[in-house]
Amino acid sequence: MLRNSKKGVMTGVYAALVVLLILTLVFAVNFGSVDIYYKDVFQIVYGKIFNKDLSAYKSSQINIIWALRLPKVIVAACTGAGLVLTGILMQAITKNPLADPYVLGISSGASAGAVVSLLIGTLPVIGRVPLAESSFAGALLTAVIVFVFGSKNGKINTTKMILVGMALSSFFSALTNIIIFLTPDSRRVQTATFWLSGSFAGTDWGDVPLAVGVLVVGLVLTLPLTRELDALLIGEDIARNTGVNTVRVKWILILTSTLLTAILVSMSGAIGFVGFVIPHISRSIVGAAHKRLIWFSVLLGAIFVVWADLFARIMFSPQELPVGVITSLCGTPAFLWMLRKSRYSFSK
Amino acid sequence: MKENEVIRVEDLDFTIETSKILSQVSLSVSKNEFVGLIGPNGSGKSTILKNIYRQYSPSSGAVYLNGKDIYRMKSKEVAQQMAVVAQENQPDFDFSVREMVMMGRYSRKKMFEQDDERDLEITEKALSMVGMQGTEERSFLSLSGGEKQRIYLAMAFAQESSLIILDEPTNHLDIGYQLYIMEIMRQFEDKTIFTSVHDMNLAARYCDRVILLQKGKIIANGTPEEVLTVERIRSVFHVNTEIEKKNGVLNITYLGWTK
Amino acid sequence: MKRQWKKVTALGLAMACVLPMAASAETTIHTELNGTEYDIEYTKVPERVVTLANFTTEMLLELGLSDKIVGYGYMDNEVPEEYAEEFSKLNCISETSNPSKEDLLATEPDFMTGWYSTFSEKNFPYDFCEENGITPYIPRVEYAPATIESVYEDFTNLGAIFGVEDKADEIVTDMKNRIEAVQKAVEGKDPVSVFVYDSGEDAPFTASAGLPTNMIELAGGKNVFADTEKNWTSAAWEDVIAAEPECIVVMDYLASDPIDQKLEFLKNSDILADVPAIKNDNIIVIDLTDVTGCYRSVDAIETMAKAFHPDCF
Repeated sequence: MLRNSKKGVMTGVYAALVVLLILTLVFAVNFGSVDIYYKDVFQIVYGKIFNKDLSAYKSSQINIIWALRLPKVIVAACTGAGLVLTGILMQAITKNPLADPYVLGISSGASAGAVVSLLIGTLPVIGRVPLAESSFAGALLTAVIVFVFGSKNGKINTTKMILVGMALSSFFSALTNIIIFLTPDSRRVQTATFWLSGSFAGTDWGDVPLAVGVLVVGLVLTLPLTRELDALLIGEDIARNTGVNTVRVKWILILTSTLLTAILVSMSGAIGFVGFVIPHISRSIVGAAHKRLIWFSVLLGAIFVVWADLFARIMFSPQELPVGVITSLCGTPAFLWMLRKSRYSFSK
Repeated sequence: MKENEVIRVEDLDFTIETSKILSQVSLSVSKNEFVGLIGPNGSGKSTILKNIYRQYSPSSGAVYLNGKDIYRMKSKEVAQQMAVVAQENQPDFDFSVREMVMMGRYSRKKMFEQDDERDLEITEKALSMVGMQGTEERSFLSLSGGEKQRIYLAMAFAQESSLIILDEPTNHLDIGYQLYIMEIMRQFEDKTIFTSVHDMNLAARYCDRVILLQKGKIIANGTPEEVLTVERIRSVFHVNTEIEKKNGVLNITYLGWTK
Repeated sequence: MKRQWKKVTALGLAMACVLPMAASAETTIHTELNGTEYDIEYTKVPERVVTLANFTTEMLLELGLSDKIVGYGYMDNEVPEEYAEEFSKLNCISETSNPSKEDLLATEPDFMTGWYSTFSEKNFPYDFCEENGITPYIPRVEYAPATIESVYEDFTNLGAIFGVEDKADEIVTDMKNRIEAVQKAVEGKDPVSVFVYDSGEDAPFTASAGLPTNMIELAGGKNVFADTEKNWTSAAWEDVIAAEPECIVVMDYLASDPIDQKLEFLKNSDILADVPAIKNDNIIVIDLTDVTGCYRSVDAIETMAKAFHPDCF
C-alpha cells in the first residue's frame, strides 16, 4: 500500500499515528472499572502536572486517575512499542516470519522466575524473592545460556541460538508448571496464571521510568541500524558481501532485543501475539524496509496494547482480564484478515 | 606482492571435520583480468571463492585484497573493493527491486546518511547494465529466477567496486542467461572479474586466464589454450574432446566419457 | 403358655434390636453435586469420619465427635484453644491441601465431609465415595446464597446424622442468642462500608456473595463488593479506592502470604493511602475459618461488630 510512497506521505502517516496514540491514551485514562466524568479527568491530570489545587476533587478519584490509570497506560504504550520492536528485530535476525520476541526463550525464563516469587515466595538463604527481580533473573539466566551455547568464537549462530531458546522454553515451561501444580492454594495459582498471561494490573509510577527508558534505549540502538536490518533480512551472506559487519550487528541486535524482552516481561508478564503480528501487519502496509517499518509498527503496537488493556479492564469489571488474552483474541482475526486481503507474501 | 595484484591467495588450506577440502592453494588475480576457476564438482572451486569472500575462514594460509590481509580489514573497506554475486537463498520478505539494488550502496554510505541522487542514479545505471531498467517499483519476489539473478548482479555493480567475484551464480539458469551474464562481465574492461565457470567453452571464450582445480589442488594456471588441453581434460574430467580454434576462440567438442 | 412366652421374648428381643436403631439417625438429605441431584441417605451413625475442611473439622469438634475422626486435612488456621489438646491427638492425612486417594482410603472411612470442591470431579466425586462405602456430606454453607442460616442447617444436619441433636440444638441456640445481642447493639446504626481483603498485590482477591457478606451485614456493615455472583473473586484496586471503605477485614490462613506481609502491603501502598480504612488504621484480621461456617463465626461477627461500631459496645 504505502510501500513506494514518498517521504511526505509517510510523514503524514506518522503524524496521524501519533495523534491516534495520544487520543488512545486520553481515552484509556478516561475509562476503567470506575466511572469518572471526563472533564474531571482532564482537570485532575492538568492539575497534577501543573501543581494546581485539587481539593475540589475526591482523593479517591485523584488516586484512580493519577496513581493507577495514567502510569498504567504509559507503561502499556511503551510495552506495546517495545514488544513490536523486539519482534521486528527477531524476525530480521532469524530471517523467519514466524519469529517473535520470545523465540529465544527469554519469556519462559522470566515466567519461571515470576512463578518462583509468586508461589514459593521465600527461598533458603535468599529470603523473600521480589517479583520483578526474580522474573528478570530468570530472563537473564536464559539469555546467558542462549548466548553461550548459541555462539562460537564470538560469532552468533542464529539457528543454534533458536534451538537452544526452544529447548530452554520447554524446560522453563515445565518448571513453571511443576511449581504451579505443587502449590496447594488455588487463589495464589490464579494470581500466578494471571501474571503469566500478561497484565498491567500492578503497574505504578515506579515502573514508568524503566518502561520508557528501555524503549528509548532500544530505539536509539536500533534506528541507526535500519540498513543493516534490511541487509540481514535479505540474507546474511549478501549482507556481509555488501559490507555489513554481521558479527557486530547481530550481537547489538540480539542484546538489544534480549534486554527489551527481559525487562518488559519481568514488568508485566509475557504478553503474546503483539510482537509477532504487528510487524507483519505493518509490513503489508509500508513494506519491509526497516526505516519505515520500525516507526510505523512501534506506533501501531503502542496503540494496540493500550486498547487491549482498556478492554481487559472494563470487559468484566470489576474483574480484570489478563491483557495477553485480549491481544491474542483480537490479534488473530486481524492477522487472518490481513493475510487474505493483501498481496503480502512470505515467499513464492 | 606484485603491485597490481587484486587478489592473492597464499598456501590456503581448508579442512572440514577431517576432510581436507583445499590443499596449499596459491593463486593471484591481477587488475582488469578476467579469471575463470574451473574443475569438476567437488574440486573446491566454490570453496576457494568462499574463503576469499569470507563466508568460510581458512584453516591456514592467507588472503590478500589489494595488498592487505583481508581478515584485518573492516567490513565496509572490503565491500568497497570487492563485490560478490553468488547463488542466493530466497528471501522470505518482500522488498522492491530498487530496495534490493540500493543494498549494494551500503559500503558507500555513512551511518545516518540518507539515500541521495547519486545513489538513485547508480541504481538506475546498474539496472540498465543488466537489462532490467524500469523495474524499480516491482516486487523482487515476483521476478523469474533469471531476473532475480540479474538483480543480484546489479546489486554488485551498485557497490562500485573494482573487483567482482562470481560464485556459480548461473548454474540453475538457461544457457542464454549464462552467456548474457558473461557478456555483461566482459564489457567491464576496467573491472577485475574472478568467477567460477562450469562450462569449458564459456571459460575459453571469456576468460583471459583459467585456473584448473582437481580435488582441492591447482593443476594448471594459464591462458585457456595453455590449460585446456585434450590430455588434461581427459585426466581431470574423464571426457574425450576435440579442440580447435575458431575465430581466435578455443572451441571444445565433447566426444564421450572415458575412464 | 411356654410357646407364648417364647413369642413375647422373641418379639421383645426383636424390638430391643429395632428400637435403638429407630432412635439413631435416619436422615435423607437432598443435595446437588457437580450438576447431578442426589438424595443421600444417612442410615447409620458414622464411625470413621474424614473431614477435609477446617470448618467442618471444627464443627465436628464442637459437636463432641472428635473420637470418630480418623483423618483430617486441608487446614487453614489453628484450632481454638479449647480443642487444641483433642485436636493434637487426631490423625492428619494432609496438611493444607487435599490428600491423595490412597491416603484417604488407608483410613478406611465411612463418612466424609469438607468443601464443595472436595467432592469435585478432580478430587473425590460421588461415584468414588459410593464405590468405597463412604457417605458424603456437603455442607449447606457451600451452596449459594449462603447465610448464617446455612451454618445452623449444617449443625442441625450433622446433629441428626450423628445422633447428637441435643448438642446441635444447644450450639445453634447459643449462636442465635449471641447474634441477636449483636444486632440489638448495632440497631439503627448506618452500615459501615467494608472491604474484605484475602490476598493479592496487583489485584485484590476479595469475598463477594456468600457467608462473609452475610456475616458483615449481621455485624452492622456492608461489603463493598456484595453484588457480584461469585463467592470469592478478583477485583480491581480502582473499585476499592472508589468505594472508600471505612474498615478492612483481612483474611488469614496458612496457605496464604504471612499476615504481616499483607498488613504491611496495605499500610505502605501509595495508591491506597487515602482509603479511609487505612488512613484511620481500621484494619482487622480474621481467620478464614471464621467466615466459612462454624461456631467461631459468631466470634467473628462480634469482633467485626465491635470494629465497625465501637461506640455501641
